[in-house]
Parts: sequence; structure tokens; C-alpha cells
Amino acid sequence: MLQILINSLINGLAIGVTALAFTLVYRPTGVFYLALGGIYALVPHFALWSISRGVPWGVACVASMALGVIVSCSCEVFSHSRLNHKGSPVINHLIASLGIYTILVQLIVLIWGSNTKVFRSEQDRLFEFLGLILTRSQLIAGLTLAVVLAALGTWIKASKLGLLLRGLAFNPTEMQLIGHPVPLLRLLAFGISGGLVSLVSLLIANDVGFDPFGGMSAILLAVVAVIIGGRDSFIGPVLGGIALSVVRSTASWYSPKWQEAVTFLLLGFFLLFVPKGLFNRSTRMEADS
Amino acid sequence: MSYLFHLAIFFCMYSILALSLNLILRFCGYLSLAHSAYFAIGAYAYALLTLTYGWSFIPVVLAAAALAAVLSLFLSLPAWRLKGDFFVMISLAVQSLTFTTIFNWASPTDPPGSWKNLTNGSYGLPGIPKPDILSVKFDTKDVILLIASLLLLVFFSIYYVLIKSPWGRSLIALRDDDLAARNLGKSPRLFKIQVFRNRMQYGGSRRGALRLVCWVY
Repeated sequence: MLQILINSLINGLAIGVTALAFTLVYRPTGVFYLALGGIYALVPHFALWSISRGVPWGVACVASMALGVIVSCSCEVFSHSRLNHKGSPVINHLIASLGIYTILVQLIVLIWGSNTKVFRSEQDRLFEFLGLILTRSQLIAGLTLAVVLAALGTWIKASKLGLLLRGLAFNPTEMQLIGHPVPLLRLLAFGISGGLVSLVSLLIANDVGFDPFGGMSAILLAVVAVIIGGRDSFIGPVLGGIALSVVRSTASWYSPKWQEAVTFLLLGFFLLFVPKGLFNRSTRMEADS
Repeated sequence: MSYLFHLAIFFCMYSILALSLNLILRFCGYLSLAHSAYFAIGAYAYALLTLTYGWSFIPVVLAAAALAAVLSLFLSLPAWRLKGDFFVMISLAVQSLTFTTIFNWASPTDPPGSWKNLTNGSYGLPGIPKPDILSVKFDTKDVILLIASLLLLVFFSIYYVLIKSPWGRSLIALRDDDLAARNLGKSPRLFKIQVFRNRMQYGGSRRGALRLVCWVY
């Protein structure tokens, strides 16, 4: 059972960081950023292609993360900011984002094929302590994601840019009125989001492999984590991701084929009965109206 | 020529589906991803009723549409509380749950269509009998195209009448300004339920019609 909990914790951190990447864009811009799924799939494919061309793996990882950031910023520049200028409703952003996701996935399939790929050709190294067995990829993923979460949390809470992003999430119109560069802040949110999801994608790809269609399910899990944890909290999506991962692992312990059903039952339950999530900050009644 | 028939048949079928989706997207402002779930429910209802109970074509199509309409009410209930992206998410949850249930309701030791192996999982339900209405067999593409075109005409006429009626104008008013329409005595809940029910009847009937296409191939 402890082994399941540790595995769930590591998977939950990955879901949590992806959920943060999603909320970083969703809260300030209102964009339901499904194109992140395409970036999630694109980054490891590009990294593997670079490595196969003789690029050192460290450089390949950094280059592929940079590609993720560029693609994410391009989504804002060429799609969402233009829709925003036209005053399009949020549903148009969602459809546009879904379209970008589809284009990215089809491009990946055209260029690199649709088969599942792996970074490692040999078996992963195992570490055993306190009766628990962890692979090297799991350890790297867990530690990296924990450090990134701590750094991101500190940056958002303590830095001026973090403050501006939080302000943008609460009232973008007022931010614009008092002279803050809202378009640049939006671009920054898209860039950070792309970078975060690229990192998670590389770490998970190193652990379990990757394919062109895995991005959407990763993003949907992240969205479920956001809804469970609460949209207005930093730690909520992370804890929501861990809780979701524990529930999914427990469900798969009993019957793996009902894992997805459990996830979407949870989504339905939270949307209908706890729409603000578990870790949302309480606000005064008039603040919600 | 055969391929052109094939394209024309699918044009008619997808046009009906687009009309049904447009009813809710255009007039209520809701994007629903659960459409495919009701599409599947219509198909499985048709297949199971013909395979297991030997029902004929017209009662099966009506039953499939009715079942899809009733089940769609389960989606319309949360529609009262959720809007925008979160409505899309709940519709995605309905779609995923339906897919998982259909995919997993299988047991290799039991015959397809039995209670334990209702959907036969990923293998589907083979051997669905070809339909006939008043002893006329629908087994060639030209007859199927005729039926599909007639169905499209019927559904388009219904759609046109609906949107031009006071009911359709009330829907547009509710979409544009919920509060103002409510002040005029229009009930958003009632109208949403009616739209969902009509939409799913379209989807379910269309699915029954699509089955006709499958028999030809």
C-alpha cells in the first residue's frame, strides 16, 4: 500500500504541475488551454529526434523545452490574443485551442509516426529503501517536480511579476486601466505554462514512454485536478492532482478498466456538488455575485 | 457512382447531426461533447433491440430516439447550474463515462447481447439484421440515399419550423439576455430541457438511419 502511495505521489506531482500550467493560463486569460496537450506530445518527440541526430541529451531537452515555450507563446500571439481583440466568447477560445491541439497531433503523426516511443533502450536502475522500490526515472521526476513546485510557488507569492499575474487573474480590466502591460503578462503566462508542461512531459516520457495522443488525457487529468483542488488556490491543483492520482491507483488496484470511469465520476461529482473545489479560499458572498 | 452515393448518404447523415448540435450550440450557447455518447446509445439500442428481441425497423428507431432523449435529460439537469467551459467538462465526463461503460460491459464467456456481455466490448455487436419496412428491403445504396435524403428534409423542416416559431425566438432571447427573458415570463430551465430532448431525438434517429448505411457496406 505504501508503494502505491509513493507511486501515486510522484504521478500526482506530475498531474499537479500540469494543472498549475493549465491554471496559469486559465485564470488570467479565461482560455481553456487544450492546446497544452499538443505541446505535451510535441516536446518529447522533438527531444528524441534531436538526440537521434547526435545532439547531447541535455541540449536536446533544453531545446525541446524552448520549442514548447515558443509554440505556447505562438498560440497566444496568433490565436487567443486575436480572438480576445475581437471580443470572442470563451467557447471560441476553447474551440480554437482544440483546433491547435488537433493540428499539433496530426503534425507529430505525419513527421514521427503514431507508434509509442521510449527514451531509454535499457532497463531503468532500481533503488530500494525502507521496503520501497523506486526507479531512477521516478526519483528524478519526483525530485525535479518538487523543486519546480517550490520555486514556482515562491516566485508567484514573492516576486513582482508573480503579483502582477495574480492581479491579472482577479481583474484584467483594472490591471489594464492602471497601466500594466496586460498583453505582455498574458504572453508570459502562456510561456511559463508551455515551459512547465514541457518539463512534465519530458520527465514522464523518460519514465513510461510517449505517443502523439497521450497529451489530451494528461491535460484532462490536470483539469480534473484543478476542479478537485480549486481554481483560485496555488496549492489546490497540486493537492487535487495527488488526490486524483491516489484514487486512480486505488481504482486500478481493484479493476484497471474502470480507472477512467472513476476519474470522470469524480469530475462530475465535484462539478455538481463542490464546484469551487476542496482548497478554494472562502470569499464574502458579494464577492461571488 | 457507388462512391458518390456513399458520400451523399454521409452528407445527409452528418447534416442531421450538425442540425442537432446547432440547436443547442446556437440557441443555448452550450458546446456539448456528449453528443457522441447519445450517438452510441442510439446505435447500441438499435443493435440490441433487433438482435436480442427481434424488433422491426420503425419501432427500433423510435425506441432508440426516445432512449437517447430520456438519457439526455441527465445532462440537462446540471446544465441549469454550469455554464461555459464547465458545462463542456461535464459533457466530456458524460461522454467518457458512456464510452467506458460501453467498452467494459463485456464478458468473453457470455453471448453478445446477454446481460453480462451487453455490448461485447471492443468487438462490437456483429450480425445486425437488414431492415425492412412493409416488406421492402433496404439493402442497396440508392434506396439508402433516398431514405437519408428524406430524413434530412424532414429534420431540416422540423428545425426550420422550430427556430422560426415563438419557441425558437424565446430561445434566442434566453441566450442573449437570460435575465430580460425571465422578466418576460420565459423559463430558462424548461426551455433548456426541451432543447436537450429535441437534440437527442435528432441524434438518436440519425443513428438509427446511419445503421442503414452500415448494413449496405
